[in-house]
Amino acid sequence: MPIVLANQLTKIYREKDAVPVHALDSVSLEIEPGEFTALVGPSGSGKTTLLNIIGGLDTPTEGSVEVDGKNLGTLNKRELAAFRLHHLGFVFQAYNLVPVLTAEENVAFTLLLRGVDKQKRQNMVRDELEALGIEKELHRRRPHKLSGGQQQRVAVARATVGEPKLILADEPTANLDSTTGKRLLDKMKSMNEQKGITFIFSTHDPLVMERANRIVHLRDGKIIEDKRP
Amino acid sequence: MILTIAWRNIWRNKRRSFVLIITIAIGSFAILGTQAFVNAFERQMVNGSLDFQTASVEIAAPGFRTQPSIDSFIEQGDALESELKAKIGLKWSPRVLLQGMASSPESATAAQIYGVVPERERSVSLIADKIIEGTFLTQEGQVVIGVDMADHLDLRLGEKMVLMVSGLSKDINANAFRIIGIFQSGYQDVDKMRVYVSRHDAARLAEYDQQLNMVAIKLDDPAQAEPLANQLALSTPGCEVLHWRQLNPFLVVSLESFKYNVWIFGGIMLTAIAFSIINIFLMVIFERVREIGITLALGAPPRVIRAMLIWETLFVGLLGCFVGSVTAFAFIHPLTTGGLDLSIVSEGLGRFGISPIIHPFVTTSDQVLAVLMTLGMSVLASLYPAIKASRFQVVDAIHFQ
Ligand SMILES: Nc1ncnc2c1ncn2[C@@H]1O[C@H](COP(=O)(O)OP(=O)(O)OP(=O)(O)O)[C@@H](O)[C@H]1O
Ligand SMILES: [Mg+2]
Repeated sequence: MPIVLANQLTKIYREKDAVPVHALDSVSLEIEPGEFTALVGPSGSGKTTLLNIIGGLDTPTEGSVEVDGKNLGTLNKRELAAFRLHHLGFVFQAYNLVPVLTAEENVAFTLLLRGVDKQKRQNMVRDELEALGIEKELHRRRPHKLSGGQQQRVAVARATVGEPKLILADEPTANLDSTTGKRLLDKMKSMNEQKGITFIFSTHDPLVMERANRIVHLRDGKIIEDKRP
Repeated sequence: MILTIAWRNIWRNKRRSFVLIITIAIGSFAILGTQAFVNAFERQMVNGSLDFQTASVEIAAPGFRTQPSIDSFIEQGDALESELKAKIGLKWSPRVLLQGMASSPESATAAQIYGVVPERERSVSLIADKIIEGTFLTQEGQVVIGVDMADHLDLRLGEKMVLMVSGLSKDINANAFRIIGIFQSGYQDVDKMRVYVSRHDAARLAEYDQQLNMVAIKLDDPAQAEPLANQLALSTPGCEVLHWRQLNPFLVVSLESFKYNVWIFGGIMLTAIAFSIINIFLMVIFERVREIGITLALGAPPRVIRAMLIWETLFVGLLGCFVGSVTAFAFIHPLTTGGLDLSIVSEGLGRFGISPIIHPFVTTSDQVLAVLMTLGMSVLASLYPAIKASRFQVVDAIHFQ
């Protein structure tokens, strides 16, 4: 069973006094568990829009999406939030972290919302941060005292700590230099390989494409190419 | 962790939080300060009234208060006196209370004649302490009058005046008394109308034997007057027992209107606080759109966002209340013990029975109420921004620059 099953997704933005924008135009897509997928394409081609719809952050104008067997269109706002909390992980381009929480508190936050008890939480957080190569002395730092790469690795730790089936990452390396980006991607790749977590990226970064085992090419809201290199 | 976030968020923009804390502090300071002065004025008014005008509790024949006629007296005066004697520590004074005329060779005026046992009367009224010339009664044949009556009748200390009363037999009885003292209470009705003579002299004018018109009772705590009155009403059938709230409705109305003004003032202060909170927190959520969006994206339920902001306001409110209360205490406490001399404006205050030196104070319940209302208002004010933030559209919020 595919982990993501997008069926004829269309997203139209209508703004006053403007031509409607077809951000997505009848996109159908199946993602299999364990895939490391890169959504690529020029700016404005609909990558973020597709990712947001798959992640239950946005709703399609038409079409439907099933994630892990659940049709997201049938969930209300609160159920969607709960679904995201328990089944998905997110990594955004930058400023992912709650600025007033330390690295470990940021990672612990979603576990807390899920009701994981304190002792267990602490162990999971420590292990996850270590797995992502965040040194111990950084655990108690707040985001503004971490480098961009460190911040992104903490954000990945936050996404992976609950071992969700699917992680959606919108240009996670866009603000990083290539060495740092590589390091981050290698960590994500190993999470993918070791834990079988499915990743979907939206990206322009060749480093992501190099590591991807599937590349979906979008243009003007349509899939123009879908290949498994 | 929500509390942690809320608390730390306060210190992100120190200047802004400081402004808010100070605003709340000023508000609660103002509320407590006003309350302290109003408390002082109220206490002055009540105490002043109970020292000079009415007693805390008065026992009289039914209807005597509204129609003080010579025929309206307490039948079993002796029995009542022995009952009151049995209540150890109770300060009470038996009075023969007559309506009559006071005249000098120059002029005449209406008089309320208080026939008293001097040492007993001293225990319920402070008139004896307000003698500005001469002394209080020492023996029969003497009279003590108020300064306004002395002026009106053009009488001086040591001179003689005549008191006239229509007695039980309806005959007019008159007697000459020597002025032994002149008092000034500050209450115009008292200073103008009231004269003190010995109980025996008054009884002779009224043709009374052991009859009494009133027993005045003084309590240290005015709040105890009502329960005592209720209790005495049961044990003295055939008498009317009234407490000061019933005896002085004008005073009660003044107290109520004072209270009302404090509420209005407090309401204005709280509204001002509420608007600053709404204002500042709308700014706050605008600044945090992105992180609020990300928190929601991760799957935090909206109530978590609301809770963070409400707790943040609560913390700010608590800090503000703390600063305000401490400052208020620092200001009010020295005045409570030392007193504040308002003699510059005392001319006006005297008319309301307020002495120029006042002692502002706040009670614990004032304090608690001020804090609760301030916090309540803060939470209420934070609801709007909090709800607004919890309803952010996630997609828009996370891409907000
Ligand atoms: N909230 C919105 N309102 C109106 N139009 C929007 C909105 N969000 C996206 N669009 C439009 O939809 C189209 C697709 O946008 P999207 O962000 O998905 O592109 P993208 O592939 O992620 O681009 P980029 O590589 O620049 O991130 C664009 O034309 C964009 O202008
Ligand atoms: Mg994008």
